[in-house]
Amino acid sequence: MLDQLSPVAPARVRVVLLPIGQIKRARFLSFVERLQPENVVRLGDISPDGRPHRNMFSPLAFPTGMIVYDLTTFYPPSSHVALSPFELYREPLVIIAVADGAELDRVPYRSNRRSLTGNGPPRPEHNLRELYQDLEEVRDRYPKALVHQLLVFDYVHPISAGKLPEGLVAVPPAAECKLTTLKTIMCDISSMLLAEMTTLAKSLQALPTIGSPSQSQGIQPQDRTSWQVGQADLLARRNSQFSLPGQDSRSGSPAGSTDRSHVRMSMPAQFRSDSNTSSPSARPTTPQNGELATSFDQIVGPANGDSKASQRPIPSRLASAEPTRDTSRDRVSVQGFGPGSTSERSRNIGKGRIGIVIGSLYLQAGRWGDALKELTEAGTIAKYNLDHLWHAKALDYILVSMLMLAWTGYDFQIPQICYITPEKAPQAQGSHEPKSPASNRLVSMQNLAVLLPELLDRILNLYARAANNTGEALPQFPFSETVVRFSKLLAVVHLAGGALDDDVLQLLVVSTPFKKRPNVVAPRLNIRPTRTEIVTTLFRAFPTSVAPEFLSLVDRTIILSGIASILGLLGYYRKKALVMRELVSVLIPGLVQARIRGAAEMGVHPAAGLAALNSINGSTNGAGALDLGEGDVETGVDSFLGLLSQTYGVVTSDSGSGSADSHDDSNEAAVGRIVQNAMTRAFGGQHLKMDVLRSCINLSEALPDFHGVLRFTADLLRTAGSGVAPGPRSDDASPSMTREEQVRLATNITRTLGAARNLGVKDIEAEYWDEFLVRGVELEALPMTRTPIPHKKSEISGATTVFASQVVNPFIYNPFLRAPNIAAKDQLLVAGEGAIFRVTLQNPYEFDVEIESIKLESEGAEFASSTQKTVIGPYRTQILTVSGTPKAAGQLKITGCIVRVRGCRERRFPIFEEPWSPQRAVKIKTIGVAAIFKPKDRPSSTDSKASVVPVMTPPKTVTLGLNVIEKQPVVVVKSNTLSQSAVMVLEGERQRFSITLQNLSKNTPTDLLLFSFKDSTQEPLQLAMSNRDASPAELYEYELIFAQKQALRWVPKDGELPYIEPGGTTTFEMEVLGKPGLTSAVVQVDYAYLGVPPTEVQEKFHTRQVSLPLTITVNASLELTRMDVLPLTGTIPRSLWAKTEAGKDSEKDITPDDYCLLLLDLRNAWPSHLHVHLDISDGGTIDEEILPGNTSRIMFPVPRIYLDDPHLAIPALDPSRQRQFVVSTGKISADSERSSREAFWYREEILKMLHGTWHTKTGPSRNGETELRGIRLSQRMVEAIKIEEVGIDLIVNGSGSQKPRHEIFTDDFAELKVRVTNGRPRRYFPCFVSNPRYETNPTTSLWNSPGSSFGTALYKEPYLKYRPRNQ
Amino acid sequence: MSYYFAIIGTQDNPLFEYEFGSAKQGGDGVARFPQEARHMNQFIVHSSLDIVEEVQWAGGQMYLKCIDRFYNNYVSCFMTGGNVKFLLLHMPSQPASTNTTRASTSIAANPTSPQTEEAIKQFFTEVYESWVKTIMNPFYQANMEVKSPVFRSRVAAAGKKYL
Repeated sequence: MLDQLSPVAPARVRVVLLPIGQIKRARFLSFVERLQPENVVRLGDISPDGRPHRNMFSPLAFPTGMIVYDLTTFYPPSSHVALSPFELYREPLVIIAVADGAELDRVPYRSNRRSLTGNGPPRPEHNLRELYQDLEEVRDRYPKALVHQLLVFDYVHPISAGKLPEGLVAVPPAAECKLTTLKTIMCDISSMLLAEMTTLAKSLQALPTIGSPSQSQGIQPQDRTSWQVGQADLLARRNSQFSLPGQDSRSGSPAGSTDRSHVRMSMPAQFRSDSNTSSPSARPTTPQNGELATSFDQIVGPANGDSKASQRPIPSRLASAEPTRDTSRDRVSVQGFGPGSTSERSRNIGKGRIGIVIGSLYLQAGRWGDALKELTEAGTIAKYNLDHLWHAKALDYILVSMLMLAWTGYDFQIPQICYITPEKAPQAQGSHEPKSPASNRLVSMQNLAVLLPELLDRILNLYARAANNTGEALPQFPFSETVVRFSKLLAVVHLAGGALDDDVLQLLVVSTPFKKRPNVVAPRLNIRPTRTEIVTTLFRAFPTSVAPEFLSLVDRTIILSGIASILGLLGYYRKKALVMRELVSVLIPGLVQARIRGAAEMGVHPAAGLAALNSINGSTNGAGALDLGEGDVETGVDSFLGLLSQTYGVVTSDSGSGSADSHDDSNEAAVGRIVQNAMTRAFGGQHLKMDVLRSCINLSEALPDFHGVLRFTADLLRTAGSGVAPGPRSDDASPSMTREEQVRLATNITRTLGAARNLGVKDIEAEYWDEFLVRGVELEALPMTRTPIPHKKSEISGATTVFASQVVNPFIYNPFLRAPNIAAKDQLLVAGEGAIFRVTLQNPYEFDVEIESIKLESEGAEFASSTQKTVIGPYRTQILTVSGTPKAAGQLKITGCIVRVRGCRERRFPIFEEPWSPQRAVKIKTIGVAAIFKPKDRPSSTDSKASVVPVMTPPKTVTLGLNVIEKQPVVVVKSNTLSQSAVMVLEGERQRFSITLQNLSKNTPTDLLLFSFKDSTQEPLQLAMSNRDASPAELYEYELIFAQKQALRWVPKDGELPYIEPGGTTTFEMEVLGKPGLTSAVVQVDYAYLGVPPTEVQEKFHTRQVSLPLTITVNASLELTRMDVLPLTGTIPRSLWAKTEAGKDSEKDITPDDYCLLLLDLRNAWPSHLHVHLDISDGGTIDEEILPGNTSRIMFPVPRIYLDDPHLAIPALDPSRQRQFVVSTGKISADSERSSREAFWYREEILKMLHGTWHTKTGPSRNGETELRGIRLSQRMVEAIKIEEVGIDLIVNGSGSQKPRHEIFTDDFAELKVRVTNGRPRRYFPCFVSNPRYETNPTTSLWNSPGSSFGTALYKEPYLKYRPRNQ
Repeated sequence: MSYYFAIIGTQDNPLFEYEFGSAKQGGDGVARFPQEARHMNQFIVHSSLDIVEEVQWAGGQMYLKCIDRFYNNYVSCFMTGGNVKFLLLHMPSQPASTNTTRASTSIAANPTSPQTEEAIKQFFTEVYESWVKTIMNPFYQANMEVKSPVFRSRVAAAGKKYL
């Protein structure tokens, strides 16, 4: 259907398409669509009706004229129909019933009660007759229409079956249709229409006058009464057209149609005339006058003042609403006779009025030239009789006629009546008469365009002035409608740049939109008529709110929507929004009322009164009583309200670009939406937005449109919200809305959902209002036993060699001993094992948000997330744990959460960890509403978007990157042989225990097991080692203990590769060594499933750790309490020598000088008998029993030690401390340094010689090593133990050094033998000086004491080569 | 006559709103908008922005006079250089009859008379001065709402003085 508020609406013929018989809605609509393109019929294509009395509107008179049909599917409301004949075009003149041919073959749609009567014709035949019956009924119901036709679509009438009943036309299916089939049908209908128009016109001409529409018509629901009147008049009307059923005038039309089918536009002109001449003969049965005459009598009767008039019902179309008043007026006209009197004037008025109505008929019939002529004449009469209303109407029609003429490309003259004064008429017509028609038309159009604003203004003023005449005031609706029509005309002219051209006319008549959308954003001040003027005019149509009773609800909505559409055309979005808001506020009470009424009629609860609403709702947006499906209407309402709220800058979820179906929840879309929302949030006034949204919610509730309620409630929450992601204590994110209202809205959503569910409406959902729902996702740390620890390939090789060599050097970095890196561990997951994520959710609103389901969304490796539900309390962030299981190894990214909030669409939410709030735009780029409507106007700006500088820094989405590794076993310590993981050892004792490990996983074996140990001694040792003040000797000691006295150690069985099969157990043996300070220890087992030999491991691998803490008690066993080294001099008892290896063979000569005596005080601290066994390196062994608590001194000679260089630097075991040049940092002198080094090296030598073990004699059998490292050497002991580099023996008189004292006699020679031994592998060149001294005065000795000052002797490096001693 | 004065930023956002009544001719300075029409004020002012955007380019004047009308509400406009719009909605207590022969010169009765125009102009000029002083506040950014009580009192004083 065409725009009802088009400026040229009066030139259209209204057609009502009715479904008839059994027909599906979709089929009906498709038929309507097929008819729709044929709505313009050229008069030249129509064959005239041959009957002589029906040629008043003969198409031959103006073959290029056109009839424009307005195909509607609803009968106009009574208040509109009542305006005819003042506005005749409102009345449907043609009624086309549409039947579905496909249904004819089916079961008879009516109940069988009629067809039961015997064996009638075959079914389709029968059904056709039924259709005919129905058509008759339609005729009865709509008697005022001129043509009633029934189109049977998709039906080919078999020729054998005889003719179709009268009034039925078969339309073959679309495939079989020729291009012109439907056109032919429309032409036939037009022909009939034109013929019947004559009848109507004649009947009108017979009237003395026509009443003006009265004010009251608009409001009284008088359809019932008027229809009753119509019903009463039925017979007469019907008879007028169809006097003889079957074979009368109309039945001839099918026959005639065969003739007419020859007369098509494409035919040559002669043919046409031929057929015209023949056509009268084709219908000889047409009654020439009889039937018509009677019908006219019946119609015109009352006007003739016939005595029967009072009893006779008046045809409703021609009479105004109240018959009594009408007759009284008529009586006046009848009574008053005489020139110049009132009656003379009223006669003239009547004449003028009838002329105007006839003119409008010409207008509809497409004979615009005639219409112009007729109207000018009649208009002049009305003008001079001060019949303002009809004068204005005439001008209105004249204008339309001119537009139609201009549209078809005809030349026309602007009648003088259109100018206020004749002088003002342009002289163009007079001065330039010899002009080509085309240019003449152009001139006329130009003139018309210039004249338009003034003319329209004048017409409107005339309408307004009509109110001064009693009873002549134009009702609000037609006035408003006229204003809207005119404004539309002006607006279109304005949009076309102020000129009236073909585009404009096309748009006006057949609603072809402009090829190029005019730019309405820029100011258009220079275009006449200006927008401001148009708006001023337009707002005259705005119904005054003070008088709601003058305008029915439907009319009001029509007017308001018309105003809104024109404002939209002009680009006045805000004004349009104001009107639309008004429209909404008008609709709400109306809808509520209608709902209550509809519910009362159907006897159901108001909430269920959906069905009653469709008709009302439909007529608001012009869809008419099409009875659209619920969904169809809702989309219209949705976008309508959406547009309304958009203008006010309401923050909506769909970012203006429409396409609500494809919800895009990607990060970019979400960020874009946030930025967009922030911009719209800054736009406009908060009050306005919320007010508008509340209206929208109310309207949706009144409909009831549950989708709308939810959508706008969500939008309201979104608009009220602050749209920020608050930091811990930075922004105020609370919405600008009272708490009560928020809670109310929240309950509203719940309530709506409940109501919808009760009504069986499914899948209604809103868009969640806070984009920052998910504020963080993090991986909950796995329990230590489950955490996989990443290792590099190099680490495993190091580890395996360490284990292979069995000597664990603690100073070589052992990656498995180190504490796992926290950051790295966080990102690791094991395939097939569940992980727990902590999701932070925010709710800045003051009500609970119920989350029906939340799960993680991931990218990369396959991942299965569990689904959780929760409730977020008001104004808080809440942490929720969601578990998930990666299914395969690889990179995994948690990109967001898929959340379904109750009542809202399930959608994805990106993760916004950083707080964010929008920044205010510093520079002003756009003014006003252009900011919102701009992206819509330029949809193709996606490419250039990249170059546009972003308005504000968008919030950042984060993802949680995870690394999923292959399936790994889970190993636990099943048992150990220790009771309660505790063990008691004695110092120096070694004990073995075993650990049983179990592999819990069902299908993953463990093929890599690495043991590492931690104990309580390591810590203080490391501390001591890191002490910078420690002397090198101490450090060496610490390091030695650290490196070689491991408290715990794995004792692998021979050739065993650690392996645990899935679900299996394996036992491993461990050894613990008692050390002082050892209280606890941890056995760490790193295990993994590599699947390949360790040497072939790819880049990285991961292990997991299981640890077994042990409690160890170390008790003292044998303590070395004291030691001493004494030089041996003089005679030594033989028993002492027995302890040395050398002493056993007595023949060997042993000198005490080669030995020193070592004293060890050993104490038994263990409460049982201990047996100590000492091995001395040169073969001697000592066994000693020590009673508990006793100290036993062991004395034995050990050979004195010669060290090549006792001043070597003390080595460092820790490779990290081995440096080449070390400057001693200590403040000790070189001497003490030298002596400490000496002590160190000699001690080392002693310790090398000695090795002690012990075992218990009573109680449980224990054995261990004696810790001898406790010995400390003082300078004296060093002296005792070391062999001098050069030894000097003095032998006096043959007796050796055994005797300490020699006696020699004065003046007697004594033999002094001096034996010098060189202990070094180098040659000495000693110089011997005898330096005797007196006993009495040692200080004046001439000799230095042996060994002390011998070093002063000079020696020279010989020319011989150096040979080490051991070679 | 009742007045509703609004300052609108470039994004259609109200920066300042004030409602007052005529203080001349025995008025008490209290706005007497009908209860149901009161919330419409914002909407009317908002809708007349369309007209403002059109007329602002017509001439170089800052004072655009009475630009719009909705029922009995008249909207006068004043543009600042930064495209901030001062909009004054004035509603006479009785609807101004368009066809009265005697044009009332009183400001309160005839919203379109030259006297009223002049008074509104003076009002706007005074508010403009205060406005400029207010937004020279270094903490003020474009399109930010003005909450200064001093400014509000100045507007009130100007309203009392001229309207």
